[in-house]
Amino acid sequence: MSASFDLDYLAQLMRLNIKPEERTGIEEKLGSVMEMIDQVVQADTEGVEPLAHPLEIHTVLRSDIPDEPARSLRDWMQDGGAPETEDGFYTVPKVIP
Amino acid sequence: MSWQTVIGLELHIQLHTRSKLFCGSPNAFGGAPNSRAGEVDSALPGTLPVINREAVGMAVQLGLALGAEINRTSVFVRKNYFYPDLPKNYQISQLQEPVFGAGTVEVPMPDGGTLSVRINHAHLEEDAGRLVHDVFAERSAVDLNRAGVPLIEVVSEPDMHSPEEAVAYARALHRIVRYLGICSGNLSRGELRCDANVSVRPDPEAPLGTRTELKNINSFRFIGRAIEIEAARQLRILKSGGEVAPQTLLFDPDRDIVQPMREKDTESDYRYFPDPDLLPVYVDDDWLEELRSGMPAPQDEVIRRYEEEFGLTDQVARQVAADVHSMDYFDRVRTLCGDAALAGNWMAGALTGALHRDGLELERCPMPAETLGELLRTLVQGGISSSAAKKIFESLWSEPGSVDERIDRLGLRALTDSDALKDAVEAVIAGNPGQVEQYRAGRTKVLGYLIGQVMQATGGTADAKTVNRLMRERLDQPGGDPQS
Repeated sequence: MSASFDLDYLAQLMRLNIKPEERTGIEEKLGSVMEMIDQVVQADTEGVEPLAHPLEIHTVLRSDIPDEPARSLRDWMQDGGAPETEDGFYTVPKVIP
Repeated sequence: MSWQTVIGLELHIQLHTRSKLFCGSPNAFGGAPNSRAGEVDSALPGTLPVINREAVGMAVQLGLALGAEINRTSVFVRKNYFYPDLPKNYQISQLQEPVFGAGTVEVPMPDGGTLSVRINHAHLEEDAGRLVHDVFAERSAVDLNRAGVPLIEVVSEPDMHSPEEAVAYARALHRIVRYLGICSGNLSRGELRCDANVSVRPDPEAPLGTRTELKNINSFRFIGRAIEIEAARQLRILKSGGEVAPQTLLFDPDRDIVQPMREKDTESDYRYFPDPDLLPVYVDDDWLEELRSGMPAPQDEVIRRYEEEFGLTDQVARQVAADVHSMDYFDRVRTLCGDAALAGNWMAGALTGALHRDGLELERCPMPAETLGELLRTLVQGGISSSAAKKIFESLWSEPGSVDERIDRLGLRALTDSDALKDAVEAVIAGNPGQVEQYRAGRTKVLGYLIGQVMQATGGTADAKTVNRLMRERLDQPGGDPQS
């Protein structure tokens, strides 16, 4: 069975600009991914604990010790690391008019 | 029909850790734009998040305070969306296995009753950066200093039915997080922000109506006002036979209106999945016990104890028991000076006044508890007068130093040497024969004037009680004025 999806909607969520000549290829590949997921969904998981990570270990935690960044974003920006900056902010097109 | 408004709140509470949730950049308000955003906050390639233990601990303590189910294992997920304040293009958050599940907040209502609001769950997540829309005409400005600050988002059940109930609930939770010392609770700095889900239905038995979400409300008053406006708007639509659109709205306090922000994303649009960079967090028995025992006794109990054991007034007791930092400061001051009521009064008076004046919280107080304790001990022992203590306090506030050194530098050590005081008393008696005569004729009110003269002559350094005693002894002496 072929899973249905709306490629344009997904592309918009992911901010991807898909060229017309790429469409067919992407649709095929994504379609086979969706088919595989449909198969996975059919597996009987009754009584199986959800798995968040394949390793059976827990995370290492960090002590709450502040530490001024050796190089902050501000430094990166001053060295030309952002296309547009002003007064220490980096700037983007108006989000809210 | 008996229309009913249904309200659920999501409160985003910034946890008052010293460093951020996933890296060591300082968690502090302000600073030059982007100066507190390190490599992890800026999402530079190759960086990896490492969880702050303290942030998890604070979140668990809040869960314990709300009687919630603590999830011993909690999992971080990626919530994917694009916005300029979110450098990774996903927010690290929690979904199915958040830090704690169902709990309850008992909300005191203005009429004296209590409203039980159920908590659905709370998840731990990172704050986004700050977008500023009004500094530049053509562009929005981005400051990532706030990116990565730990947030606990407490999601209530839709258990509130009026703006008043919603505000009372928000205030109750605000009081709890401040008391636990896990959030400073400054709303104007965005340390506590509220999203309100609002719907209206024809009667309390009807299924829930379509809800809208009011985003990012940052004052208690605005929470009430925004809900009031939105519920009225929905009611107008429904009464005229229309349908409420599921929307995300912003409250504009200047224009006193709500306006659409964007069409609401559905949960699947966020494409949540477990963050492969982070393993599950496990809270073992020892850690849970450590967190439980590190929590203060219930606030009402502490207030009662302060009143009964230390003789604090209700108002002072409430102020001192506002949060764990204040209680700790009080304990150190009262132990040092040996007079709990005095310590409480000074904290509620001079100290609070100075903090307000400088816009500071107690944790950033320039005067250590040891200094205030020492100052009050000197006052209790009669080494300085009350008015001198106030002067020394102000001086130490603006220029920290040792109490002893400051008393000497300002020349405010109390004249406890009774010979020197007796001389001052003699001089005033000699210089005011008229008042002395009036006193002896029975007009004892002039005593205050004469004592004032001694205080003035000694530059306020004399202990008023001692002067009072010496002056009375001298005036009541038979034999009268030495000059006569």
